Order: sequence, then structure tokens, then C-alpha cells
Amino acid sequence: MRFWCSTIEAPWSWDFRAYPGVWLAVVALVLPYLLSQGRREGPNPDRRRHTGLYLAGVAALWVGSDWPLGLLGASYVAWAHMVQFLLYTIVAAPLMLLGCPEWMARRIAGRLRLYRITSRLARPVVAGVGFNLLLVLTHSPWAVDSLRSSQFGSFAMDVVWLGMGFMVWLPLLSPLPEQRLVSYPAKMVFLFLALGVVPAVPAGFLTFAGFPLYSTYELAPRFHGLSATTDQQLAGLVMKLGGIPIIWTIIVVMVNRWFGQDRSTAGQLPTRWGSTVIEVDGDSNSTQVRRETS
Amino acid sequence: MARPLRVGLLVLAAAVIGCSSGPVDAEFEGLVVDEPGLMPSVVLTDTVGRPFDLVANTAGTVRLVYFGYTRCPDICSIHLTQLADVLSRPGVPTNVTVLFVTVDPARDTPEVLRAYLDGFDADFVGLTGTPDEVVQAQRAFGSIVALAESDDEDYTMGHDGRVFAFAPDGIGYTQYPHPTRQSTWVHDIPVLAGRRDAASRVAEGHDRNLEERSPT
Repeated sequence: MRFWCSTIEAPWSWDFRAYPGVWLAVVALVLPYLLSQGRREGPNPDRRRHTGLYLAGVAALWVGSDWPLGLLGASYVAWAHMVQFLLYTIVAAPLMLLGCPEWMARRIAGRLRLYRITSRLARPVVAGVGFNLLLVLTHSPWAVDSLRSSQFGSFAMDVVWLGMGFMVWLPLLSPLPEQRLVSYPAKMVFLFLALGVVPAVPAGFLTFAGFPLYSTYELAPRFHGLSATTDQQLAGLVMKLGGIPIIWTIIVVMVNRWFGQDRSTAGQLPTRWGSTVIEVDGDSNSTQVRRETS
Repeated sequence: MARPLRVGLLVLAAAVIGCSSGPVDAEFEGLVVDEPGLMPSVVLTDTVGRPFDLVANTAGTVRLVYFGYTRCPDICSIHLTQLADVLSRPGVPTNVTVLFVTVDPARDTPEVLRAYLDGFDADFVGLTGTPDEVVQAQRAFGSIVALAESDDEDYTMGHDGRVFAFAPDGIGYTQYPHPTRQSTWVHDIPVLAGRRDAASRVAEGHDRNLEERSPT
């Protein structure tokens, strides 16, 4: 029995395989969280919402790591590897951050002395560049072929992916408000660049490469007859398009909130476009446009 | 002459000399055979039940000979899938014959063999024979003779993982162990397919030393 999903040579089968290491990791993530929530004596607003979001994040992590997706991604098909990556970085990590209440984050950061590190990582340039450098590194044929071949290597790659996810979402969703970007335009630009644009480059390599890049998937027994080249092209598409619905949904929500924010301050601060001034009366919901003359 | 320029010219000269004096067979990415021999003339039975001469029936093509069995849990299907993928690529020569010789004739009946190969490519040739004929064929190609790994009913076979490649000139220049990547196949198959001149030399009797080295 193996504790973590890694490359195996047997043909793919839908027969269940147990990976106790994954279950232990899930327990290690859930149990302390629930105990901590249960023992909380001070104010704990939004406890249910936080717990739900955190558990949803851990569930995404579980789906990405355990049989069948974990084994498919570690041993058989590159597209599953990319689905795992997306689950870790743009589903599990943000949900876990959203599910972490501020008091808990402060306690963890204090006990583990993580405050300085997380503050630095939460800087948009550090988070964006770091995430994308690690993205390229962990998707290089060398890294995939050498790490996925062993359980420890495979485990390390999954841990790095989760860490990358936390890093890239910190500027937007850090449980500590002082680490978050304040302005919506800055948030949207960061999200678009860090998660929307740069990952498209390695995705393009995968889609248009002449040969299978990863020997792990090229030399694996075929999954339902899928050829190695088609599998790699699918992986590129998953990487390029998989995150788009999530990222653009978030951007649309941010745009709405941004306009909502503007509306709530309307009447107090006029908007200027050169010499044109737009004033919104929040009470009567009317807009007045006037041109300033010098 | 300035020193950097002299150094540059020396490096360039060394590179040119190094490239031109390299072994001819460095053009193959597969395992280059030290003493290439002619393809052994072996007659087995195809999946329709007809006698199949491995040399005569495949003349003028690149021959890729592999000894495996249909219940192989790993490398056989990987080799065959790789070959099917590679041979379906545009630009790869079409005069290639894949010959799959079963090392488990007891279980690999012609029907089983045909159904198995059709899962990869309907043009792959399946060959079988009596247990003795199959053993003799493996020996003729210099393959490790396959053996059942247990007495169980669902036994597996320990067998050679190499694909033996023969150019249209009938000479086995290279072999391809497991695992062999597609880039290697795509590089080597056109080179093998281009080895036709030597065939005429052999036919004309100018290259007798190769014939003397052949195992037949």
C-alpha cells in the first residue's frame, strides 16, 4: 500500500486504491480547525460560513489528492495533473483562506512566527512573480518526471502547489485585513495578471509542443486509449481555460462591488474626467454632468 | 589576429572536426548495434493462419519486431501505443511494418492476438507459432527467450523489452528498449527508411562481410 499517489506501471483500472497519507493529511487539516473553532471563547462572527468555506476547501484538496484524480494525475494523464493543479491553487487555497477567521490567522501567525513572512508574500509583486515562477518550475518536465515518480516527491509537489495557492491569493483574501489590497482595480489587475495571463504561456507550450513533454504520461499505460499527444493538448487547454470561469467570475463580482462602493460614496465625491465632473445624488439617484471652466 | 578571434576559430574548427569524424551510426537515437546483421529469415503464422515469412513478406519496409504477449501488464501495450502514435504522425514514413510475435502462443490464439493488436493499429502484424517455433524465432533475433514467471493459471511472462529494428536493406542497425520516447522513434524511423542503398550493395554482392555476419 502506498501513502501518497505517485507513478505506477500497472494499467489504469477503476478498482479503488487506498492512500492513507491523503486521509491523514485531510484529518490533520480539519481536526485542529474544528477543535480551535469549538474552543473559541471570544467573539466568533460568521463561524458557520467560515467553517463551511474551509471544509469546502479541504474537500477540494481531498478530491485533487486522492484516488482516482490523484492517481490519474500522478501516473497516467497530464490533463488530470492540470486539474489537480487548478483544484489546489484556485479552489482549495482561496476557500481555505476565506474559511480562516481573523482571530485564528492571528493566532497561527503569532505562534508560528509567520506574520513577517506572510506580509512579505502578500505583496502583489512577490506573490504574482513567486507564484508564476513556481508554476513554471513545478510544470517543467524535469520536476514532474522526477517528483511524481516517488511518493515523497509527489507529496512535496502537492504541498508546494497548496503553498503557491495561498501565496497568490494572500493579496486578495488574506484573513488579516492589513495584508489585503484595498482598491478593487488593483485587485482585478493583480488577479488578471497573476492567474490569467502568465499561466497561458506554459499552457501554450503544452498545447503546441511537437512531442509529449512529460515522460511520466507519455510512457504510462493509456487511459481509455487517449494518446499522449492528445492528452498533453488537453492538459494545455485545461491549464489555459480551466481557471477562466473562476477568475472572471471573481473579477465580475469585484467590478460590481467596486461600482457599489462608488455608488455608496456618490454625492460626496464627484468623479472627474478631465474637465468633466460627474456628480451622483444618492438620494434621488440622479446624475448631473457639468463641465468646469477655468 | 586578436586572441578572442583565434580562440573562436579554434573552437569552431574543433567542432567541425568533431562532427565530421563521429561514428556514422550516431545518427540513430536508439541503441546502436555494434555489428549490424541481416534480419533472420523466420517463418511463423499470421493471425489469419497463413505462413508468414518475416523477411520476404515485409521486403522494402522498415521492420520493427517485438516479442511480447497480449496479457502483458505493462511494457507491451506501452511500446505498441507509442508506435501507433508515432506512425500516425504526419511526415513519418509509411513503409513501416510492426511485427508482434507472441511469446505466449498457448493463450494468444490468432483471434486473441488480432483483437489485441486492433486496439492499437489494425496494420500491426500479429505472429504466432508452436512453442518451439516461437523460441527459435527469439533465438534467431538474439532476443532473451521468454519464460513464464509462475505456475499460476494467470501467469505473467518475463520477456525481452527490446524492439528490433531493421531497415529496408534488411540490416538491423538499432534496437529500442523500454522505455523509448516518441521523439526517438520520430527521429530514427526516417533514418532507417532511408537505408536503401546498402540493400542494393548487398544484392550486388559488394558488401559480403555483412552477409557473413548474418545469423542465418
